[in-house]
Amino acid sequence: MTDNETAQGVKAALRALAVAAALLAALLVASRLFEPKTNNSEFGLFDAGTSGIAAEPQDTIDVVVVGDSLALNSFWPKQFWGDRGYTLFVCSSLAQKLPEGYTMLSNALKNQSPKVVLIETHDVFVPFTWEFALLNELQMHLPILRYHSRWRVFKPSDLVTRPEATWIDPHKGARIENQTDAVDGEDLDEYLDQIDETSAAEEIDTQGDLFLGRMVDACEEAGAIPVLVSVPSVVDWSAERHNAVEAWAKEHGVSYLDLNLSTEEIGLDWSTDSKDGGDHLNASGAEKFSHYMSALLDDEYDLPDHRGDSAYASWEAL
Amino acid sequence: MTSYFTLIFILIFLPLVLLAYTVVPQRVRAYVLLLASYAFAWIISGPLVGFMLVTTVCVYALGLGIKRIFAQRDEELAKVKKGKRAIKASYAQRARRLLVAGIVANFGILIALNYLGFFSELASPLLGLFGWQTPVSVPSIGAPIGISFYTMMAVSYLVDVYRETTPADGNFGRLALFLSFFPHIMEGPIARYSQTAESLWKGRPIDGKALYRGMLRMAIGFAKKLLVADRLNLYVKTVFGSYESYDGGIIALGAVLYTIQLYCDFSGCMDVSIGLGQLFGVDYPENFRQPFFSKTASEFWQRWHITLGAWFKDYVYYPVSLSKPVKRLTTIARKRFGNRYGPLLVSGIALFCVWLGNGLWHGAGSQYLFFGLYYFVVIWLGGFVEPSARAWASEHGIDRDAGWYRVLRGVRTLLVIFVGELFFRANSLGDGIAMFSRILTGFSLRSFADGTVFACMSRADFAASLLFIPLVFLYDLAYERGHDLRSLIEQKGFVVRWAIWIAIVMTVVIFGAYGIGYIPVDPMYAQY
Repeated sequence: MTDNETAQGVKAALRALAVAAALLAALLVASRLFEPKTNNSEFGLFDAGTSGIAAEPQDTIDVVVVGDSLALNSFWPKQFWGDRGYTLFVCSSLAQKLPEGYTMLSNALKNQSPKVVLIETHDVFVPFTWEFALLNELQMHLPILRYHSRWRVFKPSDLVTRPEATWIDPHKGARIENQTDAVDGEDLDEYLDQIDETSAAEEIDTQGDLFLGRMVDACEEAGAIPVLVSVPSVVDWSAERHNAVEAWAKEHGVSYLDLNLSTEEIGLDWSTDSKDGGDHLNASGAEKFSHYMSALLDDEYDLPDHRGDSAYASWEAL
Repeated sequence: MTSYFTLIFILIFLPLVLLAYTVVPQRVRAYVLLLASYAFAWIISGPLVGFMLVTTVCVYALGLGIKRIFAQRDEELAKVKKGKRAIKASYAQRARRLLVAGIVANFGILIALNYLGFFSELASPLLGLFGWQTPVSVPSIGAPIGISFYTMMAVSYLVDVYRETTPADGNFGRLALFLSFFPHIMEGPIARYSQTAESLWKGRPIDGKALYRGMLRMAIGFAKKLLVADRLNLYVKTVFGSYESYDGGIIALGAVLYTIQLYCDFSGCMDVSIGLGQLFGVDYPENFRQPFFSKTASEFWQRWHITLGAWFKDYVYYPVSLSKPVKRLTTIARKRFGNRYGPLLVSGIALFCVWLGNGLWHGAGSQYLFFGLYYFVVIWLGGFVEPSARAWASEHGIDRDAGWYRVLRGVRTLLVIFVGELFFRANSLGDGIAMFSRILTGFSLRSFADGTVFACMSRADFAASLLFIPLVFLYDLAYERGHDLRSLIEQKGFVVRWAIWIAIVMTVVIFGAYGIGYIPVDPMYAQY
């Protein structure tokens, strides 16, 4: 290669870098402009419930829960607080996929140092594409890719307002629902039969394995104990899934709690405790489940009791 | 990764291919492209990509077979002084057998994978008339991405070899790359061997100019698709999915917006394909030339999906028109109906073959069949009406080149196009007829006045469409008037031209119809 060719190559590389840098700068500026200015859905925030944790005072959350609707409908922070006085925040969203769970967990860990992170395992079996994972990753760093549609509600004040989390979620991320739809008898028989049987494991695909691992790593880096949890669900749970998660947890040295094996101890009555035929728990089921879980976690991880502490006033009001 | 319009393609696949293409020696570059092309097809179609390999092997072997026959012919011709015509005819017949075998094999695969179910459905009532039933339901294993496109390219190669306008390629890799190159495999253009094979195989180095040309063209393609096409999908999908709920006005707008959606989707994808080709030093033929400025339906098809129209012209229309029976029929018709209408009447045979093929090429469905035959009728009848219209205008002193008359013809052509696209997009021929009837019998502007129309697409998306559709129109208008906007931009200095590129990209990022609230739409012609 001649000196002239080398110089041209260097020039081309510098120009390419300049273009890339200019594009990145434009994306970052646009991200800042279009990002919702507070953590409330009224300001265009998607999955605002999971972002409520951003407004919680720093390092006040003891347990963080990530997962999909199963977690959203099962963990009742009010019950945990009332029973044992520790704080549990539900960073879950409907039909959440593992990459989104990872994003929510990462966001939560920016401001909080929980002792325990509960990862609900239904997500592990919800398939997603690499395209979805890549987009999710990019959206973490370039919010314009997530919030670009806010051009519809863009205001001049967005040009100068800095994003700030100001909205305190009164439900601490949970979405507890009251309706009742009893489980079909056959479904229940099948579910209860499975509990006693051991069988083959359902496959955890490459994407699931990767993102579950990333979530566990993120917990460990933040000094939190990751715990895989399967909440009771007649519809979504199976012995094959239990075996798969159990094997994964064992391989990675992570604790696994399958509450489907403890429905009697929890006191669940599937004729009254589900909102939709055994898929999700309702308020009655969530209360029993949370009562059982609050003791289980406290006994296992020795969580603090903050009741009476003025710094936790919003929890007293639950 | 399902198309060019995915992050995996833009941020991972393409940069990796560009990097590998740049760092390897020039003689290896074509193999990098071949590997990338098969990887691209494999990611989308999995093992079905084997059919593409079968087609390649088939036309490669048959092409060489035809070449060998012609070589033997030439040897023999060199030895004799008399009877050359008989020798030529004899060898031509042998070569034709291979050609026919190639055409039957390749279209056979295409029909088996894409159309067997449709033909079985069509045949079922016919068999029923005789008291027979279709013996078994036809299983579907799917088809590899781009099968309609690469099959037509393969057949064109084989016919050109037979016609001796293209030499048979002894380089299997070059032929394989010509057929499978990833920028055209989704939606074309349907390039000819003589247009791209050589330049693809050369492995030209990527230079700054070509890089910018390609990236600008790609950015424009992304803009057309994400700013216009995918946004209009909200309206189109809603209306065509449940047309029973809407009045004729809403449906008519649906036909118009679908036509614009299809144009921006397809021509946008072509911009990306052509831009991708330019990155690697390959100039694909243009597939669109401002089609909405056409004065007749016939002209529209010379400007819309140009490479498909050219394929049908070269490999169906002319061979049928110039076949002995048709020529004989033309002579008879000329005698009976005169020199003007006689040939026109017989040209209907070739035209019918073209439009039957065109309709079926678009898909296995009665609406596609209708779509093809609709254009056959419009264009064929147009041939009869045109001389009378010309005479009428002349008699009444009307200047056919006057602006108002051209606009009138343009509007008439647009109406023809909108009606055609309505049937094309309808879920079935029955739905198409019902929607068209509703436009005729239940046309009303009430839904626009009372805001019902916004149930199909939000006000904000309408507003964005009203901004970006005129921009596409102005862009096309500039080209129609001979202003090459892209070349003008390319001639600007480094900072200005890249600032324009970043501005286009940022407009797509901010206003693009993607993410929450939108449904990702794979390139629409990729299904054909």
